[in-house]
Amino acid sequence: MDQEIQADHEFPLSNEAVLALVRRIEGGDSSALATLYDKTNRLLFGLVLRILGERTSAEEALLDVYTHIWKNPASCDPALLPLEWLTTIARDRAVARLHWSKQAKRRQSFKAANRNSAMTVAPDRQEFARFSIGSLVPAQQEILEWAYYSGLSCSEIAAQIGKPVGAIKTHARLGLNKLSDLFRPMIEREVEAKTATGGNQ
Amino acid sequence: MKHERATEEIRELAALYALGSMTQHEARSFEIHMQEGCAICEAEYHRFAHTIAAMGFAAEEVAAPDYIRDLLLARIEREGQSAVPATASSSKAEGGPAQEKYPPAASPLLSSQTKRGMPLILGWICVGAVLMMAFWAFMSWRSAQETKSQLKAQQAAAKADMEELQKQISSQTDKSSRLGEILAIAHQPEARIGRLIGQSATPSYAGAIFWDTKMNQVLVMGSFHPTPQGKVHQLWFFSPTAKIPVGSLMPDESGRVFMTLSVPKEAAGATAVVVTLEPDNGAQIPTQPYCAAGRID
Repeated sequence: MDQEIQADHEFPLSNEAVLALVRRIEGGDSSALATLYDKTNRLLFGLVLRILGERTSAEEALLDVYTHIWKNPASCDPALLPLEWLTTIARDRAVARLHWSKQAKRRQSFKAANRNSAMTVAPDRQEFARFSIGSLVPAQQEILEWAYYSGLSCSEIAAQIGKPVGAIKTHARLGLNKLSDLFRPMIEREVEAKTATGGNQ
Repeated sequence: MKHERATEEIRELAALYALGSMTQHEARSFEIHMQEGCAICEAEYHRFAHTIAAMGFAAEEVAAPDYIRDLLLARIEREGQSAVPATASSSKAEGGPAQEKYPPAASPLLSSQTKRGMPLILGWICVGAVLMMAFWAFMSWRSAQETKSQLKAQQAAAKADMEELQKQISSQTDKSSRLGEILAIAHQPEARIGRLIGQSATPSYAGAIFWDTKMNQVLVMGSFHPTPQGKVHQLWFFSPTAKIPVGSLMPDESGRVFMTLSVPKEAAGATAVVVTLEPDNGAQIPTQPYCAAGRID
């Protein structure tokens, strides 16, 4: 297993590779789904586990994510990069499950224990995302993490952490603006690469 | 309305929409606005959608248990691919890439077939199948239980929401009806209005009367103390020559009064209104100290 991780680390999964796998899945190729799972399950499981806070729900959510990809490969949003589409599906499915089980308060329980240095998908993106979120002022970081990992509305977040709704909205806007500015060069580079390889069809 | 440039307000809406932090109503409004062709809002939304998706890379990677992969492959095998079922099945029928690259879980056993003979292999296959079925049955049962409890919780929440809404509707209807009664009297040219002010013994008393002199009716509203046992709140009209009892007031549990009383004809020239606390069979002379009093204009 470690050798596999190392190999993946040396050849990170590109957006183009994900798109090619999605196209094969669209054609009903289950081996493409298995490959996509092998390459991305660590990233997406880490994400759904962070949102849901406990393994059983996270495992079920992960199954939901890949089943959704299998059944709806054509939903691959052309406005997003393929890797972004995966994290978006994973977040949406986990947050939906979180709301169903009303576990929003448990969402941070896994955070401290979840320390694993291995990065099998887009390690530069992962490091940059952590660095960028860490560079926000604490209030913006707190609100954005609440919003992202709980999927709660501003008024629900305000009720949870005891701050005015207006402040929640302002912190969310300013934090996302800053993140957007930080991410922009990297995203633009990847969009250009995707366009150049004809991956935007 | 299409926007011509991105303002902070637009950015906030787009950011909250992309984050999924709007209420359903707000989100629907923003969607409709984008569907109407506002390129500015759509561009802002896409910008933030990239950002939100990129946040997904900040979570630490964790390896999923190996059996999840087996479950996934078993699930897609069982459920098929609704969008392109024909292609999927043909791929499998032809021994396509799925079976070449990702052999079934039983394939290691098949490789030992040549060494140990068919009966042993069949036994192992049966054991494996039974174990898989037992695991699936357990997972299905657990999933069904969870779904059942979630549905129950949702049903209870929906019922509570509906009851709360009914209460609110009833309360609003009541308020609207009361307001209508007040306005009906206030619009009469012959209407007289008096304000009830709490006196020294009961300074928190407050209220008003709306007197329809044509119909000889007075609408009394106010906030008093709940009436003590064996007592009654009584309304009086004072004229320069007489103190006329109008009727008993019946505050609710919280001390609120909203009721209409008939006004005796002899009260026609009244210039003041008074509320007193009397024995429960009422009084013909007002007992002091008065609870509330005021001038009638």
